[in-house]
Amino acid sequence: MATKEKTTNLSYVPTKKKGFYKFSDSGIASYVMLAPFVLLFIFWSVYPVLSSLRLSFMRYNAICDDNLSPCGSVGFGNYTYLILHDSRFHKAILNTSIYVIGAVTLGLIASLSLSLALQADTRANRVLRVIFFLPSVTSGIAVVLVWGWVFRGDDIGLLNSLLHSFGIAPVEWLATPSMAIPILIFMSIWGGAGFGMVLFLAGLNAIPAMYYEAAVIDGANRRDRFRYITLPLLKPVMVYVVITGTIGAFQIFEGVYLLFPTSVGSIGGLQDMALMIVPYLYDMGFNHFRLGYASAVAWILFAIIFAISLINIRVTKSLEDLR
Amino acid sequence: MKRLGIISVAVAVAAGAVITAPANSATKVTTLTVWSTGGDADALVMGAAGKAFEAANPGVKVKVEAIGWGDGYAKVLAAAASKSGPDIFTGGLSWGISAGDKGALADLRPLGVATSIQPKVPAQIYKALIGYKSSKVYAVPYDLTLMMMFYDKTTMKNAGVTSAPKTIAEFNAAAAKIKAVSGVKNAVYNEWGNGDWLGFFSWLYSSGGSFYDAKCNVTINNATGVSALEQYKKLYTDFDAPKPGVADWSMNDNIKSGKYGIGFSGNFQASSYYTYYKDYKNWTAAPVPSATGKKSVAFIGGRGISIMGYVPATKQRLAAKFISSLYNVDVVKAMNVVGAANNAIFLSPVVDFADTIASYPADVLATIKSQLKDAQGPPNCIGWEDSQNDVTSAITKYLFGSTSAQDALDAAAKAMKSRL
Amino acid sequence: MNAKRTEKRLERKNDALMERSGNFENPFETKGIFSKFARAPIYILTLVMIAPYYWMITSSFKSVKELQKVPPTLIPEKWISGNYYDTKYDPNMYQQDVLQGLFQRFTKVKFGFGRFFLNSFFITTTITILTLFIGSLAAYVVAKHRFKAKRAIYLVIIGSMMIPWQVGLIPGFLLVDDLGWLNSFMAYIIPALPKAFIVFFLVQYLSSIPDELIEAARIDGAREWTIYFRIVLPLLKPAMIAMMIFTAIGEWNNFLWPLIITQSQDMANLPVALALLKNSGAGNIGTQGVIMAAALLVSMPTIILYFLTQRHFIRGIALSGIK
Repeated sequence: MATKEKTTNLSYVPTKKKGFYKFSDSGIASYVMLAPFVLLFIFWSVYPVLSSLRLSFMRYNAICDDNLSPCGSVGFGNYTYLILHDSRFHKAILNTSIYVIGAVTLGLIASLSLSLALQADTRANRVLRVIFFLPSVTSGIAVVLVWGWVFRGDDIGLLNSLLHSFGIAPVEWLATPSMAIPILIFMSIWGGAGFGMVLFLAGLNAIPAMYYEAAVIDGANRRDRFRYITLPLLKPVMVYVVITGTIGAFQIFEGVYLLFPTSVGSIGGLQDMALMIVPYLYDMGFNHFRLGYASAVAWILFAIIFAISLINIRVTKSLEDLR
Repeated sequence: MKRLGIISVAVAVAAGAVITAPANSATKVTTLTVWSTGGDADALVMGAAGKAFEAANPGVKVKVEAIGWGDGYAKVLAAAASKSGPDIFTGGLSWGISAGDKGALADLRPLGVATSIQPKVPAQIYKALIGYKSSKVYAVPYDLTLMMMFYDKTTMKNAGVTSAPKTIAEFNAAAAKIKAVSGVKNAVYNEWGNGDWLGFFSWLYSSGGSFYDAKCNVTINNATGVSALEQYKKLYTDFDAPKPGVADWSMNDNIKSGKYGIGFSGNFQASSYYTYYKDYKNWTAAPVPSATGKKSVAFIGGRGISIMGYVPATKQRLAAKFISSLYNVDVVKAMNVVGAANNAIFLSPVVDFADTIASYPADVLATIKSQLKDAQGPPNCIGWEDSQNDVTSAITKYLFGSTSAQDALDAAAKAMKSRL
Repeated sequence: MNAKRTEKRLERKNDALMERSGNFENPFETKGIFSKFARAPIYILTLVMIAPYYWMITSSFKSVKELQKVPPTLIPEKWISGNYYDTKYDPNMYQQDVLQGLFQRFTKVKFGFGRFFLNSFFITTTITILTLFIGSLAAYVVAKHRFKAKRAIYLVIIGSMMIPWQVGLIPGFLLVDDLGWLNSFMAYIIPALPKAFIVFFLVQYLSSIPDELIEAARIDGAREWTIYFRIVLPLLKPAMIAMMIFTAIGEWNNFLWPLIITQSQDMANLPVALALLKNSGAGNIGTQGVIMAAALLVSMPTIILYFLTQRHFIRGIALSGIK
């Protein structure tokens, strides 16, 4: 995998030098070069995360009028309400979980299959790879708007007019609660399978051909070769695809925001059928300006993603140890 | 690659120069910035009022910017938090109450706006803009939106219905007949407030029911409420009204083409007919049907207009002067000249000014005026803002789910009570 | 000299990694008479991939009347440009069958829809250049300087990639607000500069480059900045190009953050403008063609960039995934 870093290089060897050279062999240049990134990083990445943690224990709406809407600490109030009482949040968590599981597993299968199908380096495959990859570089909003038309519920909707020519009655795609999440999953696979495919292709090409040659000599059939050589050697790519895919899927926003609006100033669609965590965060934070409460939502999102990443890494590791 | 890089940098620098160039402005001009919620057309209409104000007040410039319905409220609160943004904004009826309660807005009473406007506008709409038991006024009505019943006269005639259904029973009979007419796909279409509390509102109030009574006791789940909700469901089960999310905002064309029978929407669609289908004379609007012996009580919404709290006192007075100018008949006329061309005919909260809308057929104008008399605005009881979502969610559980009407309304009532 | 050669060598190595293929069989590669049929699903899927683009393009040239046809026409019966700009449009008078074209909307904004192009272009280019500059400086220090605490700094930077960025959304908004940057380019650009992934990626890339090159230059007495510009930057070129494309496409398509920090239309970027357009048009069939025209225009630049830089792009993804 990654080229090993030379460890001698990473460790700083204390010397008796003076001034800026005391901490770095390269003197002041090290600091000057590192400073822009590190300062911006502290200010715009570290601070907001910590500040968000602080806010999540507060009632806060930024205006903080002492008489009308005071701000202040509520202890774990936001968290307990979210976890115990907030039924919209529960719905958001449930929807997001179903969506993530669907989008990640199906996406994994789709991108692996695509990479296998399009692996041979023919001209046709090269064109197809480009086509499958296109959605990854296309504006999410633009794509969502087209899907909005495809899934329109009346007979002008593209899919419905297609059904119409087969004599099937129009389907209320975006107004049927059981269809909201499958549609979002479909959109996610359409948009993301090409990206996974490229990763898998790179992984496949990194497998030395001699493994297969040796297997053929040993009499392994095609299925065995796939199972005992290809799959295990693709595992690191799979872990990567699953982890990044999971983190990405948890952050779904645009599709819900544009395709599932509720009456003025709310998100989630009919009966909150498509309400997810980040749209809920947006709703609480910016439609209602409950910034403390929304921060608590953000931290729960973080906790979930963190836990899943850890589990993912653990599971892969223990599976490897078993072998 | 390199060339691409150089080109993009050059274009970016040029773009940066163009978009960051300061606008030329004379130094002595005071600029009033108005955020107009709605589309570009609404901003143009407000711009007409701005022009009139500029003409009357030399040295003042009125700058109107459009903000969207969807995120407008968030933008207003963000502006309040950052103390930078507009001086005046128009927005949903509830925005004034909830942003005002957060301390974001100026009280309009000491500015003299509230008292001068109150007698000019319908009491129900004025009431909807101020918090229950609140002594402060954070918004006054800017315009009105009124729920009406739209239909095509030919479609009605083909169904054998000779006059607009007045009672709910007549309505059901008419809708059933329309359903049988060939070419009609959906006998009823709910456009404004489809499947939510707003759409239900007119049916509830026209049956003699209400969300809260005058003392803000929750009344939504009484027997009247239940029967009104059952009637509302009929629109979906019996008369094929499309669910929300299916064919949103598609009433006009489909009424015209005869695909929809009766449509419930706001007067903005009358404006749209006027602008877009000048030759189409067969559409009309009638009052929403009511239970026998009850008044037809349509939902009346619209926009309020408010002044931001961070605006300095002298400018607040100027802003107040601008707001007062909106209740002048000549200004309204000027606004409607622009409105008629842009599908944004302005319905002033001063009911008499409805006559300035020369563009409407007489029967439509008559409907608007008669509906305005008994129309009701959203409740102004404490917690209503936050309860809206629960009420809608409860209603949809009955309309499109398997809960009973009574259970659904009980759940809504429980949520409403918990916030009182 | 040396640097150039190493760079070439790395590039060749990466290309070989990507382009070598077809060196083994896989379960999807059936040979013989059935191979054509076995690949049929791929071609059907390809249609699904292309359909939204096709629809976007054709319907942006259809008249309102034609858009309402059931079943829809595959090829516009009459190609019209009114969705972009209708010469017959008169703002003071509504005419049947005359559209308010895309570039005739947003009348309150200087340059109309073109303004959003300028905004997006300016924002994307500025962020891409600056973020790569400060990111590569930091990466150089972390990878090639002997430096106290750099391990800790690097760990924090990598660790931050685990945190969903929405966690810092609200404090980020409040920070921008406190600085008075709401509705300004500063709010777009500055918070977007510290990108942990870029540092991570470049450090990985740099660590595969032998230290001798840099050490030799140091011994020759070259200053750190000279080394950075003369040796490190040329070496990093392939990685930088990949990151440049990623960043540019990401920023071009960015939606949630711009949605929050813009207050007036003239500061919107393209995705936000698209959402504005969609919300103002609602379900009105008359604006659908205009929306498709806008969606097409918004998608084109990134797709063109992708076509121009395809090789670098795919390599970048492959590298990032394998590492």
